[in-house]
Amino acid sequence: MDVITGEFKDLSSCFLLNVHYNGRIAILAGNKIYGLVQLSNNLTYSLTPKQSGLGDISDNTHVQDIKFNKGTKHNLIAEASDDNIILHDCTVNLNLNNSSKFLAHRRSITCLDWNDQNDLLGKHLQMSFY
Amino acid sequence: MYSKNLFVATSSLDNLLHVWDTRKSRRAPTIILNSSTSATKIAWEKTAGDLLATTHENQLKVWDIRGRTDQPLSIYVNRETDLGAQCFGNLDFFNARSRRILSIDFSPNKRNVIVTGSADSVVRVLEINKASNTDAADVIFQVLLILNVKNRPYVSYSFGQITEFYPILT
Repeated sequence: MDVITGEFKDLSSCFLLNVHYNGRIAILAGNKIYGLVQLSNNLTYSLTPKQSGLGDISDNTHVQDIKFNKGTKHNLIAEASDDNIILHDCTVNLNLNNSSKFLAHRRSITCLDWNDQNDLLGKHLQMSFY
Repeated sequence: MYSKNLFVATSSLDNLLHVWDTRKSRRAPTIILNSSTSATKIAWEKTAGDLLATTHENQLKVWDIRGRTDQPLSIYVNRETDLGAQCFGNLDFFNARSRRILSIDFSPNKRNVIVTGSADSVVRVLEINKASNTDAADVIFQVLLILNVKNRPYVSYSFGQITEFYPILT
């Protein structure tokens, strides 16, 4: 088994990891920074400072969980940060675009999970909600 | 066009479980469940996507989101009695903290099979079954397998506590 290792001091504050559906991109997240790592032989990566909705670097948000979508929207990332959910779009250039944030709970979110395979769920919700 | 797989479930310290449709511009949860106590981990069932599992200290709760009721489908309580002295010689090891369930995941291909990792360094593989002698709606947990990983160096864990699962999709 081939093992590729790399040391990224810029990502040392990140404590959450999730891997893209195709296994070629990993996202690391900390309280102040995101890191997207290309899982290839040279292990390239990019850094994105975390920002609040007003554009200021928010240093008091506590990211609890971050996960790639494993379904049809592979590049969609959901992040639980304090009581908010933040949706990111990961581009091929290892950037996070079109981030949208919305208040999800009254207190801190502890965990999130994408619904991987939800034909029945989707139809059920679609029929009853609209 | 309707697209799938864009639902996110969240657990929170406010004792609520939310299911979000991330395609909707109006940000209101599609489903709200009151779990009575705060959940620390949440996981979807992977084959049909209609069950949610949450952990609450030493309890594992399974929710059928189609019913949209605040009553879980079933509750599994992590007790030392399903281990016995054969796993750990000293049962004084067990206390409320050591019974905490730290991680859960559903089987990727077998519906109703859940694996839990707890602070007592034990992996439990559980199956949700309908109770045969009671109401058909009742479901029970059947423990399929118990692994004591404390002395198994090939199982990844941290400080004797299993914190995360990464299912192997083979």
